[in-house]
Amino acid sequence: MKRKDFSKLKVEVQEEKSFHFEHENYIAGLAPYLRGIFSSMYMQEPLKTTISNNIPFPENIPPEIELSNFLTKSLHFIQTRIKENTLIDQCVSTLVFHTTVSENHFDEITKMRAARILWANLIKLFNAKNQDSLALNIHAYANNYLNTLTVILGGCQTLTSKDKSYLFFKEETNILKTVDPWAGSFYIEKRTADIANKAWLLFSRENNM
Amino acid sequence: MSNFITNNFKPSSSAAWKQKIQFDLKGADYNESLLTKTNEGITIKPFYHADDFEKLNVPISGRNFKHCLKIDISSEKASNLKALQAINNGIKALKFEVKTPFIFETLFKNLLNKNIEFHFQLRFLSEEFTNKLCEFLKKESVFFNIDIIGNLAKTGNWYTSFNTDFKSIENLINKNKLATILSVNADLYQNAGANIIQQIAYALAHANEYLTKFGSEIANKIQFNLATGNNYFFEIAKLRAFRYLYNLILSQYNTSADVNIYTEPSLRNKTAYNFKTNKLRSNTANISAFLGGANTISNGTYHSLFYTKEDFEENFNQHQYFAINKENLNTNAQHITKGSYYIETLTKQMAEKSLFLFKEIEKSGGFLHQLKQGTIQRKIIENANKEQAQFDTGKLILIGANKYPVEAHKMNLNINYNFFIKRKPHKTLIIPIIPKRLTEKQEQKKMENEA
Repeated sequence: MKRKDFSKLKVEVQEEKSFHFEHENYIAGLAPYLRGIFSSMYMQEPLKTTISNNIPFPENIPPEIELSNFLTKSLHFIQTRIKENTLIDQCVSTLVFHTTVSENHFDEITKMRAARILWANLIKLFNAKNQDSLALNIHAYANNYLNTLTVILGGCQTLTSKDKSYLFFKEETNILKTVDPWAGSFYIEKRTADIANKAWLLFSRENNM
Repeated sequence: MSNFITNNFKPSSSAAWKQKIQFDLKGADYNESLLTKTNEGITIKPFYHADDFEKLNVPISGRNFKHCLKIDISSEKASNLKALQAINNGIKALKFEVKTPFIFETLFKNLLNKNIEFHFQLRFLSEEFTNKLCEFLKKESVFFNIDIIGNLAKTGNWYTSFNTDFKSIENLINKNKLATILSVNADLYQNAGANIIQQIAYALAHANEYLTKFGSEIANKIQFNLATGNNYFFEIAKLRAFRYLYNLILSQYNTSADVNIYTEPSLRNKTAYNFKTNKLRSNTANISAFLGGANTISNGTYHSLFYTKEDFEENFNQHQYFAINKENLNTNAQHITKGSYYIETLTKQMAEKSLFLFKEIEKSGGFLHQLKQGTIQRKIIENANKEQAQFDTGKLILIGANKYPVEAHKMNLNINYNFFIKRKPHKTLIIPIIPKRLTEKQEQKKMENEA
């Protein structure tokens, strides 16, 4: 057969997303910090790591329940401190979301994204003066290399893991070179919205808000 | 939908984000500190945003993903037992590496009619044997992986000659119309040091030699064998860009194909010292391949230089894919990538660059022509040398080799030393393409000091 002529061949680029969630235009570094608490995440603020053999067990509850529990605990803590005349910005500065991730890779990535947006919504209720108060620090525990991959892609600030696999991810995979790399994916964005909405509903009901 | 999560906060544009980054940088240079330039000529930006969204319509493979175990046939009986055991453990695909014709009744005892996908890597070209094998396995799903151009690229010679080799596969194709006889073994290019753009373009140009010869009927009867590296999102995008471009090229033949992509982790970045990291490298590469839409994923061949037996066998465990896809078992994994700003952008950039290179190769007379001229070999070596220099100067990092070395760790010296001894150059028709690992040079030096 004669060689085909490919000279006119072109890739056909589409610029329209076939779906768009309103929250997709939230960024990193600005409230509600959906995509991360620093504007360029690990490029600016390196991931802090510790090694330990004592990793708390994952909670084995659906992500929306874990998040709603976290919000309730945080709310009670804040209310107590405010009664003691502590300013909101002071009392939240020490709060960190501690989580041991399960093997559900994408659920855990979306959980961490949802956690940041929920936190910003909670703190907003207290009229915090300092923008940073609306940014949620996440401390993640990883039992294995796959968990480590999960929490880096979810954007945690600090990590406690059993092994040093984070070194591999940091140096060899380029996954820390861009913020919130799974953003925009229909699957991820829909799941983020679902988890956030469900968790907020549970939290509101439980605390009569 | 009234939605609490968007009630309290204003959205931000891509421009606002960049402004915020520049403010946070406190005078440091944005390009210097935040952009990552790769050997593909693609720059990883610190963020991707809906404002700059671009995508291609990437075809989704309709077949379910399979995890594959590779078995070397030294004895038919032993290999048969190994295969049976694997099937009992849930493996749905097997690849047999074969050096000489074998007795297939023994090898396939109790393996047939079990909905297992079979792959071959035949180290010889025999019409007679392959015809019989085709006949024997005609009710099974089989990939014969015969690649005469790949053999030329790898060894520097045809099995017999250009004419005889092509005549052989022509006969095989005509006689076994339903079988997937051919493959494009583009894993060689990756393992020899080609960058992702080259890998895609070479795989396409390589395939186009078969399409030019045999026409559109074989478009769906070629398996693509690719090697996966560790630039996580790039490897996902690589498979998507490849699938897109293969179909774009097929549009010139007025056809399309849901072609089978088989992957193995690359050997190029494997290290003989501190080899624990190799397990991470392979597992992570396999996850990329899985998300990128590979149909069949194997860990490749066990080698005691790179793995402990336990680590390697743990890799056979399919837990990683199920974990990745657990919430999503009913969905094809490729759907997860849809709409991702980063992956869609990478896919588009890779497709554009690879298509450009493919067109250049075609314009100059095609892949075979460039192989004979030595152009493909030269281009691969150029990129391999660039990577080697980056490794030597610590710009390209391999854990345990040029960063965080564990001094006490010694190589597994029970291995056969020949692994490092260079092949003696023998007379070849063209310059062969030789796989090369980045740490080979360093390891040889270290080993000499230890000896």
